[in-house]
Amino acid sequence: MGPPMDNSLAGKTALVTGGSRGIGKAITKALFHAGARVIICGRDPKSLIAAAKEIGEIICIPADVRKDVKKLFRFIDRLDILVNNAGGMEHYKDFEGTDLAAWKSTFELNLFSAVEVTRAALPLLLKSKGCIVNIASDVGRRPFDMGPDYCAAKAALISLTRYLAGECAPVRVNAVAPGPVVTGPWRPEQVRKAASRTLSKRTGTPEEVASAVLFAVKCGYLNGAVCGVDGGAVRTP
Amino acid sequence: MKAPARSQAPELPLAGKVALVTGGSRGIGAAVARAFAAAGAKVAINYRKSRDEAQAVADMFGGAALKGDVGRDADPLIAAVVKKFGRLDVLVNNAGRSDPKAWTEDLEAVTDEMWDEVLDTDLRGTFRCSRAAARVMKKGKIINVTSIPALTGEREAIVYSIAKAGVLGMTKSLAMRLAPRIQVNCMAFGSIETGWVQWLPPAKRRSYESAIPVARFGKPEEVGQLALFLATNDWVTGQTYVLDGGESRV
Repeated sequence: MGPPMDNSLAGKTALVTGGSRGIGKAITKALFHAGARVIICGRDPKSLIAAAKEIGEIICIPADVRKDVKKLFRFIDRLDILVNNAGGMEHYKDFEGTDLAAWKSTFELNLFSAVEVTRAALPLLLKSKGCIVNIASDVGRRPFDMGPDYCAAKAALISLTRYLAGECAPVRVNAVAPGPVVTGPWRPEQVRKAASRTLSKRTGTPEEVASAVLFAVKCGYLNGAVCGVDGGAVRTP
Repeated sequence: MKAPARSQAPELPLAGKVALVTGGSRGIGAAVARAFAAAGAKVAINYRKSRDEAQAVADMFGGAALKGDVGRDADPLIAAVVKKFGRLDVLVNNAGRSDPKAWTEDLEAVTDEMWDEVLDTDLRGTFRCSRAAARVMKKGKIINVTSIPALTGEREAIVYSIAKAGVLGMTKSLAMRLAPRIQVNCMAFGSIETGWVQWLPPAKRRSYESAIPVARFGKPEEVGQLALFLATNDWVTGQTYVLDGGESRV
């Protein structure tokens, strides 16, 4: 067994929220294989342990980013890379069917959690001249029928990314906006519909998204950028 | 339980691939060519005038230097790459005109000659090279070059911003037309540390830098990192990747 070939992130510490499953797990793996010390957090201890068994020596902290941010940062004393990946769709309704409680819940999961984690992480990142990658979505660039609350929350995360890129120097802040990536039990017609909105006529893989995150972390001049990885589904800024 | 080992030496990401970088004799083009060669590709660079410079760049990595004006000689240029290396996988449309005289806010100073020269290289050249490349690529990547004035406007860069805005539109249309076989993307640069910096007065350079959150110009190697990412990711297409240190935040 030789040393890792890509050791470009050796000595760096990364935190990936929601890093035990789906796209988050692929990001964790990519950062780990580039030599970083990776901390992941998530709500489900079992899936954290499963990720560690699969990937290797990573640090797992059971924490819900909607309420446990203080607790999470008790375990973190240095940080070079923050990936705000935790998020998701809790329901799938049109505007009429989405009440204010649903809006609040979606914004808590997809925007306010990232805000809180970023607030806690920023002093450490300023010290290390580190970087932030926010995982947005193609529907945050151009709405698609994924619910008005989810599209708006992801659009807000993109706007936050651009805002922070101007204010937080020398910390770099970028977003990666994935298109449809199948990470759960999707029905075949859901997959077909999702694939049909891309030019590639297929859904993406978590690894294809993770490679964009790794690029955003490594490229020192990338700041305030929204990196679309979506098979060409959205071509507007 | 023994933890799995970290990854072993991966194959070079562009091993077995052939790339052409137009306008590759210096600056951004030369940086992209070097990055591709380091990633295992066979690389041809194209030049219009600077033969010795181009040959010196190509010699650094055993590549080929091919003469041609992209606005006129796209077909023979692509044919020469295929003849030399047997295939084409990645085209970088980097050739562009940057005449300091065209960088003016005086509308009366904009001549038809400037207009023809810039559009001929930046727009017609990008289209013709892309069309010729698409004919010979089985699967592949086309990477175009644009810059921030195309997105935000720039009072001193009327003709330039028009040409580069055309490249943005072409990128998206070609991405649609050539999908799913070929991915077409665009790199939108801010201030990169290349030849143009030489004719930038120091005070102006400081004022440019102060508008950039990372407080410096980009390095050619960072351009190489972006080009390499776009050359190797199969699910990125129709995109414009802004590389400007956070200056525009568009």
